[in-house]
Amino acid sequence: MFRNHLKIALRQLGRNKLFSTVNILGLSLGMAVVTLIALYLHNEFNYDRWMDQSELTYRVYRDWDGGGKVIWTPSRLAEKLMADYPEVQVATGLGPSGETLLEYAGQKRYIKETAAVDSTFFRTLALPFRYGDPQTALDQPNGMVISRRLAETIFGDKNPLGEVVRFGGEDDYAITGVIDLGARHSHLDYDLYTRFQWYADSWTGNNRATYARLHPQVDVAGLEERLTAEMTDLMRREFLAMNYEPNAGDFPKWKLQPLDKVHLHSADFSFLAKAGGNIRSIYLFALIGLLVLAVAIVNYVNLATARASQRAKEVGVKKVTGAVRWQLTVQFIVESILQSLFAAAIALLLAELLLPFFNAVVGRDLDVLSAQPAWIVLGVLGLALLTGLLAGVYPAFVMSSYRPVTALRSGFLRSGDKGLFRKVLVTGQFTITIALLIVMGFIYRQVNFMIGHELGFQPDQVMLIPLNFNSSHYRVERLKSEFEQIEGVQSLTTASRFPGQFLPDWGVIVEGRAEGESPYVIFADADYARTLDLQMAKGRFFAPDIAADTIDHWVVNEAFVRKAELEEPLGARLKFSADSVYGQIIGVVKDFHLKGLNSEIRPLVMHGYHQRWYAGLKLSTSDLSATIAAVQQLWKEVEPNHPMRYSFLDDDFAKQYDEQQRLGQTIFYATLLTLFIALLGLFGLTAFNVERRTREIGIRKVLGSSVSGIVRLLSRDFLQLSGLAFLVALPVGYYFADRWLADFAFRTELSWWVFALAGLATVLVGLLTVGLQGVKAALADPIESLRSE
Amino acid sequence: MITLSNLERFYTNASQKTYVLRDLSLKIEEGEFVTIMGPSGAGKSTLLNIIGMLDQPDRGEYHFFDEPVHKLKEKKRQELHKYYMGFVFQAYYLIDELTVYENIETPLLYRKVKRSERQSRIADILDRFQIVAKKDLFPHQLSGGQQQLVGVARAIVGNPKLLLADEPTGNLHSSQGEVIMDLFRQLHRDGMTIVQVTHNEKYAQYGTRVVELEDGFVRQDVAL
Ligand SMILES: Nc1ncnc2c1ncn2[C@@H]1O[C@H](COP(=O)(O)OP(=O)(O)O)[C@@H](O)[C@H]1O
Ligand SMILES: [Mg+2]
Repeated sequence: MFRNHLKIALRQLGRNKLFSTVNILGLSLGMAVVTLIALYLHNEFNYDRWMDQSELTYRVYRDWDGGGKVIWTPSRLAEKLMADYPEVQVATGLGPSGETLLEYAGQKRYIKETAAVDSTFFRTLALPFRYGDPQTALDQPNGMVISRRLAETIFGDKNPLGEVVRFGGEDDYAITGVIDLGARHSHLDYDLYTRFQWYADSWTGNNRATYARLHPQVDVAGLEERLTAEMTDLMRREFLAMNYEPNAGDFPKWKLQPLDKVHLHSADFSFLAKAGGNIRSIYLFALIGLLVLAVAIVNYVNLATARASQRAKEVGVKKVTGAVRWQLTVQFIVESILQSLFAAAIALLLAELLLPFFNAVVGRDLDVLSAQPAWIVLGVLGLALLTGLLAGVYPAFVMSSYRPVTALRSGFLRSGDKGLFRKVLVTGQFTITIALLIVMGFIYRQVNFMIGHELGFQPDQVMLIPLNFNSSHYRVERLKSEFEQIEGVQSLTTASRFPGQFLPDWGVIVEGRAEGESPYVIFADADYARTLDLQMAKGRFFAPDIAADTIDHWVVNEAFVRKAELEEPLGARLKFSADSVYGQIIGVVKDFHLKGLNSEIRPLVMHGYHQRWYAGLKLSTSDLSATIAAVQQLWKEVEPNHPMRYSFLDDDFAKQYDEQQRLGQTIFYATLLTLFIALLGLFGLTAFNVERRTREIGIRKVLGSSVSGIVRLLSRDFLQLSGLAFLVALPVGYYFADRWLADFAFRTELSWWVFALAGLATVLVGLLTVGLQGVKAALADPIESLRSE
Repeated sequence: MITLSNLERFYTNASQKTYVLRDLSLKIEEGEFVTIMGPSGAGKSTLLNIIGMLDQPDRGEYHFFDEPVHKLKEKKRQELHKYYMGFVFQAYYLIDELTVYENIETPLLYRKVKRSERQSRIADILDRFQIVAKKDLFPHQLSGGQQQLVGVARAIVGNPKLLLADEPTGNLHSSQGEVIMDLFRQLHRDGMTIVQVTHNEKYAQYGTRVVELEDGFVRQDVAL
C-alpha cells in the first residue's frame, strides 16, 4: 500500500514538472532559511551555557532602578566577595584593556581584543585550555593566556607554553595557557589575557566587571540584598570623606546576572565588554524564518487545492475500488511529505551555499554540516516531516472528502472550487511581502537620514590616531607645529575621546547645589573645537595661551546648561565629585551629536586635564596617501616602538549604525525571499489557470478578443487580491515601522510615498509574473488549443 | 440477493424537487445477469450507484441478502461495497499514474490481500484476459478496448459477488465491445451476478433479463 502511494506520488511529480518545481523550490528555500536561522538561534542560546558550573556563575551589575544597568564595578569587589561572603566559591575581575601592541621575534602586531583579569579568572570561568593549566596559569604576574586563534597566527602549530613576548611595548610576558573554545561560543572571547597591573582603592570608582561562582543552593536574592546594603554603606562613607553629601539617587542596587543570560539579555546595559547578542534580534529572526516558511507552505496548499479537481477521478476510482477516506488522506500527506523531503535535501545544499552570506548578515561564524552533521540532518529531516504535514494536511483533507459519485460525474473536473480560501492565502502572502517592504523602506530611510544628518561638527577628513600611552600626548604637542606644517594638515588636537566613541560619565557638582550631575566628560586641548569645527553658543573655547584653561576651566554644552538649569552659565563653577577645587565655566558649545542619532544629545562637560587617548588631525588634501605617509613618518618620533594606527572620524561615527544597517540588510533579504517565493506561487497558480482556461481563451480569441483583453482577463483576480493585500499591509507596515522608529531620538518622518512605492513595486512584479504567461497564452494558436480538447 | 422496495431519489434544485427514481421496486437473485435499459436521464446510473452503495436513496428500502442497507452506518456500507461489489465504467477510469498491473492490484491492496496471493491472482487474471504482455504499460499506451479489459479485470480481481457495469461498451467499437460482452457471459457462466446498463439491444441479449427504466419507473421487466 505504502509503495503504491510512493509510486503515484513520484509519477505525479514527474508528470507535473512545473508544479513540482514550484513546490519544491519554494519549500527548499523556506527550509534552508529555517535551517540557517535554527542554527543561529541554537548558537545564540548556547553562549556560555556549556561552561562547567555555568549555572552557578554570575556577573555582578549595578541597577539604577530605571536609570539603566551598568556592568562596571569597583576594583576590589571580587576580593571582597571572596573574603566576606561564604556563599561565594570564587570571584574574579575583568577589564578590557583595548588594542595593544604585541611583539614576538621582531614581529609587531596590534591585538584588538585584550583583557586584564585577576589571577582567579580561569578558576571562576571554566574556559577550556588546549595548553597549560587554568588553575595556575595566572599565578605569576607576568603570565599570559592567549586564544588558540592568536597562538596559531604567532606560533603556528607548535605548543607556545613558555615563549616570551613583549606586550604594550614595555613588559615581557611568558605564555602560560592557550584557550580553545572549539565550536562553542562565549561572550568571553578575548584573544589575550594578562593580570591586572593596577587597582583603584575606591568603592565609588567602577572600572571592571566582576564575576562570581556561588556554592549550590545559595539564596541569590538574599545575597544581592546584603551586597547592596554593604556597598551602599561603603560608598556613603567614601562620599562623606570627599565632603559630598550623597542622596538616595547616588546608590544603585547591586545584582547578579546569571552567566547564561549575559549574551542575550544585556542589550539594556550601558556598556558591553563585547558586541553581544540581543534577544530582540532572536525574536526577529525566528519571526522571519516562520514567515518565509509559511509563505512557501501556502504555495503548496494553494497549488494542491487548485489542482485538486484533477485528482478527483483518482479519488473516485479508489473509493469505488474499496479505499476509505483516511487511506486517501494518508496517501496525499505521503505525497506532500515526499515533496518536502526532496526539498529538504536541496535545502541542506542551499543552506551550505548561503552560509557565508548569512554569517555576514548575522555577524557570526556558523557551520552547517561540518559542526554536527547527525544533529543537523536529523533536524532537517524533522523539519521536512513537519513542513510536509503542515502543507499536506489541508489539501489531503479536501481531496479525500470527494464522494465517488460526484467526483466521477463529468463536469466536476472542469469546475473546481471557487478558490476563496486560496484567494485569502494569496492575499496573506502579498500582505506579508508589502508590509516587509514598507518596514525595510523606513529602515533604509532612517539609516540614510542618520548618515546624512547635520551633526553639529565636521567629521569629514578628521584622522584619528590612538595613543598607546597617555604620556605620548606631550610629545605630540611638542611636535605640533611640525605636524601642522605637513602639506594637507590643517590642525591637530589631542583629546580623551571623540564623538561616537565610548564616553565616560563622571560625577560633577555645580557649586552651591545639593544634587550632583553625571554628564559625559571629554578632556581636550584648545584645538579640539577648531579641528571638529564646533560652534560656540556663548563665551569662548579653551585658548592655548591661557594657563588656567588647562587647569580648572570648563566648557559645557547647551544640554548641560539646560539639565543643570544654569541661568548664567558663564562664570558658574563646577568640580568633579572627587575633586576639592571648583573651576569656572568659560564657554558654552552649541549642542553637537556625541552619539548616533538614536540617542538624545546628553549633557557634556569638557576639561583641559591631561588625559588624552587620541590625536585628531583635520586634513584638507587632494593627495590623502601622501599626507598620511608624512604623518606616519613624523609619528615615529612620538611612539618609536609602536606602529601608527589611524581611522577616520566619519567612518567611525557611521559604525554606530552598523546594527541598524545589518537589520536593514536582514529585512532586505527576508523581503526578497518572501517576494520570490510568493511570486513563484503566483506563477504556479497562473500556469494552472491558463492550462484550465486554454479552451476558453481559444474561444475568446476566435470570437475576436485582443491579446490585451486576454491578459486583462487573467490578471483581474491578482489585481484585486494585491490591492486588498496593499490595504491590509498599510496599517501593519505602519505599526511596525512606527514602533521601530520610536527607538530613535532623531528620526525621518513616515512619508506616504514609501508606502505607495512598496505597494506599487509588489503589484507590478506580480502583474509581470501573471501578465507574461497571459501574453503567451493569448498568442498561442487558438485552433490548436481547441483541437487538443 | 438484492431487494429494492419503493425507492425514491430526487435532487433539490432551486427549491424544486426533481425526481430521478420514484417508487422503484426490484428484486435480483444470485446468478442473474440483468440488463438495465432506458433513455438517457432515466436514472439508470443512479440506480446502479445505489445498488453499488455509492449513493443512498432518499426513501425506500434496500436489502442486500439479509442486510438492511438503508439502515446501515456509512462505515458498514463501505465494507459491504468493498467486499461484494465490482464496478466497471463507461470511461474505464483507470489511474493514469499506475501500470496495468498496478491498476489491477489496487482493490487487493485495499482488501489487505497478502503479497504472494496478490501476485498469483493478478497473474491468473492477466492470463485469462490475455493481457500479460501489457502488464507494465500505462493506460494511455492502451487502446480503449484494452483499457476496458483492464477495467473489468480490476473489477473482478477481488472476487466480488456482484459486478456492476455502467455502459461498459459505450466508448468502444463493436468488435471491442463484443470481446467485453463475451467476457461477461463467461463470468456469468462461472457464477457471477451481473447488472449492466447498455443502450445496445444486441448486448442486452447476453443477459438473462431486461429491465427498462423510464422517468424513474420500471416500465418493463422481461426475462429472456
Ligand atoms: N448530483 C446530481 N445533481 C443533480 N442532478 C443529478 C445529479 N446526478 C444525476 N442527476 C440527474 O438525474 C437524472 C438521472 O441521471 P442518471 O441516473 O445519470 O441517468 P442515466 O444514467 O439514465 O442517463 C439526470 O437528469 C441527471 O441530470
Ligand atoms: Mg448514465
